[in-house]
Amino acid sequence: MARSPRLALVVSWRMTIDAPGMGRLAIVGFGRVALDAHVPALLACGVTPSVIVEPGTAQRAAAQAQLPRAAVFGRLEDALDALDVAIVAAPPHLHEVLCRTLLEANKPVLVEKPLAQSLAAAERLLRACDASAASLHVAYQRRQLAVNQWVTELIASGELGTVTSIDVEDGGVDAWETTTSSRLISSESGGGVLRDVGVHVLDILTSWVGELEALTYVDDARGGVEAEAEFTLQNRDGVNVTGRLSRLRGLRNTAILRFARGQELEVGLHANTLISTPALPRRHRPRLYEQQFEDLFSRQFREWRRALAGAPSTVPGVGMAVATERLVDACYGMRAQLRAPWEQLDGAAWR
Amino acid sequence: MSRVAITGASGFIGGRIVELLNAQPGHEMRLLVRRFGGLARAVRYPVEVIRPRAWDVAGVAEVLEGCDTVLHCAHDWNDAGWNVAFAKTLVRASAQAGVDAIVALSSASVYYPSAEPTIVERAHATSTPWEYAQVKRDVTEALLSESRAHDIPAAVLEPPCVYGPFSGFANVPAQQLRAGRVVVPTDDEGIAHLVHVDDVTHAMLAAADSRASGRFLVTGAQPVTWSWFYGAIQREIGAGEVVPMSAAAVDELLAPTAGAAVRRARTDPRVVLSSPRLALARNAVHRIVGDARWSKARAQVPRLVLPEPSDRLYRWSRAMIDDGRARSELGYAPAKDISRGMAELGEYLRWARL
Repeated sequence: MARSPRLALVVSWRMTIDAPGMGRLAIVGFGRVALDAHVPALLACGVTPSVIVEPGTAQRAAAQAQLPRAAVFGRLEDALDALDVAIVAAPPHLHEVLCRTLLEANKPVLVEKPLAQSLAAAERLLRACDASAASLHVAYQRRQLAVNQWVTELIASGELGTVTSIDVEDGGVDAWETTTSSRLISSESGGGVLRDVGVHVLDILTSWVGELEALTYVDDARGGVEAEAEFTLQNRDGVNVTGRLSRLRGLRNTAILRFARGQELEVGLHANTLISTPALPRRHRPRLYEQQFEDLFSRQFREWRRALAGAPSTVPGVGMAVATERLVDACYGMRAQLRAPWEQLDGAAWR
Repeated sequence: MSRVAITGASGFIGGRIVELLNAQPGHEMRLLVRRFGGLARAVRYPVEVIRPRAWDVAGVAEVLEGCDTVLHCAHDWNDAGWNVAFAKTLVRASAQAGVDAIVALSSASVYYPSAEPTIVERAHATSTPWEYAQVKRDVTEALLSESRAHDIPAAVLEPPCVYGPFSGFANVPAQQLRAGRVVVPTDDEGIAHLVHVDDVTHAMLAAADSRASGRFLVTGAQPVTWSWFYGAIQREIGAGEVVPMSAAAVDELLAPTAGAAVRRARTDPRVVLSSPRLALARNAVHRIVGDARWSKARAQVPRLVLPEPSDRLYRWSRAMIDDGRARSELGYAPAKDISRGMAELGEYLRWARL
């Protein structure tokens, strides 16, 4: 049966398995974030990964089912000749070895956050990147939220004066179903809510007010990985930041920014929501729209492609991610025990 | 005990077991899991998290290797059959792995509706209309018969309403009260048998230490009324209303008849507002007033929260619970005073922003 020209066009587009301008794209680590976020986002961009690297048998089968035209490998070393660029979405303790292998082969990498499971590993990756002809970018998807970019521009404009303080809250009852237990084990994840969701928050804060220093930090880990964390930070201009993170309870999931002229701005951290804003001239009013989880990954991919082409990009490079890792490390370094309010109760009577 | 395997550590009671065992020196904990989600509370502690390579006896026995005790708290709400099948597998795997004792968590719900004035441990000759209770009955039967067949001690604890931080008996009442007016039994028609999660946990550990077998009811130091319990939560969160109602009045509202629908509409304006027949008018008003005003207006119409059929079965009951067997054989004595437990619950509710 003869195909119609339109159908042929669709088929030829679907059969494009390279990322235009990037060559052969590999996904290294085919767990939950690859399956649910990266692959749908890539397909939405018209890009089909040509290589999958995944050691797990069940996950390799899932990859084969979702991407039947992709070449599937169990070891990265075996796949190096078949790929040009790679997205690393393996558990955090594997980021260092996988990224180094790719960088040593001069293959550009976009690695899932956190960059590594320790500051030392992150710094080794920075050096590996410096020694390589290839780049290393880090997937902080929340940078792609339009509201974050609007806040960055608003602060830079000085329309509301300087920022004096920020309060952030990010939390929800955690039910993220991963395919491995790495996220639950300190030696593999490098931490709990701070190193997981917290790096997103710290990265956004840094993008708004510059480099931050840790002043206080408490969390509820007792030999494992923390589910609750609270911190205070400060930048070199004296902007005070307070924050709470949780895997156990629903928090505001917003940032409240206070400005020198007494005005207050509250924006969403997960979605393009404006909770409250002072009156702004037309040129500074936000143009917000709905961005789904997958949309952030699609936009991140397009931005990464821009970065690889040498254009300005919103995807942070390894240097910025190492700065975030330094902040995480400083927090863990001054860690004090956080106790839940009911644990502190001693003989209080029912009112 | 030295190495304890725990199932259901992502749940409220399993999570508390991890916390309390961590506070007692000399225990290593191995969490046997089906999924890696929902474990944030448990993995704050030094635990092993293992998903068996297969859910057969050999696969589960591999995970239990080296464990002397199994504390079984897992319950799949969506797959009744899995619960019973896994109970059998768990006992066989425990026997194969050389586990010394199994303690499983069931529920006093298995005895409701109760025709007796006092509930004591017994097997069940007839089925119950309450699906959850029936599954718990079936799991208990499977566990006890398999444990006898494999000569391994297995105790099944049967607590009534287990409360404490993170419990459904904290979260759900708070959410119901935030929604509006919550129907509870009148004080002369219903007793709230509440037991604190710490007391249940200590009973499980005592059952493991004593290598006990059979069913054990465990309840709190003293029963309260449902209006007292909901009233206490209402005061903590500063929202909602408690509406005591007789069983006869509740049954009139819950009946699947047109008359009952009219009565529900009279007592709950939300029923009218949610009617599919009014969808066109509702959508038109929604469009005119906008999202924000619509949400605000809806929130101001308090809902009448009627009991679920299962709530109706056990809440409108004055049956007492006799936990004498647990007291005499396990040395069980509830230590958490209800006032203290509720004070903790209040702190939790504020912290959880419920």
